[in-house]
Amino acid sequence: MRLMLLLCVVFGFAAGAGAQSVTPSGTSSLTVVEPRAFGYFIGDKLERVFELRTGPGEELDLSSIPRPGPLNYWLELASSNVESEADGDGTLYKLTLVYQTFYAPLDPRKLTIPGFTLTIKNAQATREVQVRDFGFITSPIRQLFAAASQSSGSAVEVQPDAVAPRLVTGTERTALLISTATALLSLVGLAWHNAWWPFHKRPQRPFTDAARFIRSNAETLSGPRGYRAALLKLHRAFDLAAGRRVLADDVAQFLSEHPEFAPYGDEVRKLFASSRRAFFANEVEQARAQMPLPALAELSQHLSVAERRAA
Amino acid sequence: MRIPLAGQLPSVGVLKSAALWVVLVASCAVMISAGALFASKLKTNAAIDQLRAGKNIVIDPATASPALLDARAAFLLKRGRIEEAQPLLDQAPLRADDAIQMRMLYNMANARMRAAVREIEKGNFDKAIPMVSLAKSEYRSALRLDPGNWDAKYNLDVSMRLVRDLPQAVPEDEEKPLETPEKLWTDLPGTPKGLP
Repeated sequence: MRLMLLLCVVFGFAAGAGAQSVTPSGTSSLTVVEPRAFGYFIGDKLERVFELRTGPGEELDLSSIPRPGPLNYWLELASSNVESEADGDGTLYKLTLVYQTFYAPLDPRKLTIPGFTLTIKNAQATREVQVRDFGFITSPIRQLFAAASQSSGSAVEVQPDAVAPRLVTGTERTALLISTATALLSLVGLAWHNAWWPFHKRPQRPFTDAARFIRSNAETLSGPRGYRAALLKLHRAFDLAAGRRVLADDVAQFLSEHPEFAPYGDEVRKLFASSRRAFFANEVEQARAQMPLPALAELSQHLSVAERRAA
Repeated sequence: MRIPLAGQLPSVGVLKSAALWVVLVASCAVMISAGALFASKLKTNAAIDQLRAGKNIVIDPATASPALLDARAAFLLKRGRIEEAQPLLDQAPLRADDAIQMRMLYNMANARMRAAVREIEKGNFDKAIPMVSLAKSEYRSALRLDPGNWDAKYNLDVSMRLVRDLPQAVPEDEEKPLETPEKLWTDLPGTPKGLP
């Protein structure tokens, strides 16, 4: 509490005016922090801060606080704001009044902001706290007489019009650049991950490569030669995935080394069986009947997905 | 890398793919909205540039952006077209921020002052006085929004010396209205125009 009072006093000095402390009858006290009392021009604002402590059971009558609006032909109360907080067994009110002067002085002149009365109520009675006038010096901003060199019309010459500024677009441009870069990067990442163009030739995804080959050449692969070509492509894929040549007898070992393909084990064994028939027994037609091209395409698709999932 | 719960938990590859899709969709959304905003601002700026260059770009006061209202009002007021600018000023308090409102009020008051001075030069004081009074009230409104605007302060001072504010029917002021040391000028400085 003492610190607060001290701060008020210090702030008052800093603002160029001492704090006025009034202790009227009763236990309430009023501290006023005034703005500087000189150096104002037309249109300037002045802020007066009042700290009112009321005793137990007392409260400030809010209707006694001045309302914003014109006070006379040159002075306006621009805003009036009150805050309250508990202070011991009483209440501390902080009232901030902002005045604006529209006086156009011809010479430095003392003007007065009129005082007013705050009403404090308790259960039995009301009493009043008088707030003093505040005087301040306001000065002209223009010379009184036009200089000899100036034209006679200079007394009514106004400052030029304000130029309407262009909109600032920096934020949007930055957001656009960053989001475009992020979108492109994530697109490249997806293309890499799914081995889309231009990453479709990556050796690390042999089954994806084989699946794409079979899917996109379905027409040309429909004959017996094509069927062999499709089988060869899948064999190469197995070889690349294992890092060595995989024959029918190695399938079990391959599947144990690459468990991601295990769910398709039966299909893979069927593929190797068909392949053996086609290449070693020269029974391409029977092989095609056993595992037709669409089944090859489907298997290669499954293996491609499994391969990507394990990546 | 092998996950012990493979089959139950989504695999790393699936998570990677999903994350990339989420990033792609989100960044595309930001890109589209920022791009649309950027494009509309560039369009507005192009119109502002043309208005500044003196090209008569007609806008709809009800839908135009505040920046465009500001630029169009400045264009009209520079040319003394006060009646046409009034609907734009009526729109400003509904949408524009303080800086734009302040500028529009200031430019309007300037236009009124220039018109008033023209009337004074013609000797039409009855027409000039209400114009100056309106200009004063607009300069005051401008200063309420921006008390630190020196051009508005200066011009309000000019307009106040042209048509003075006086206390209105306040009994104690009747005896001695804020006295001036001497009568320094008349309310309306007439420009002496003798023969050469």
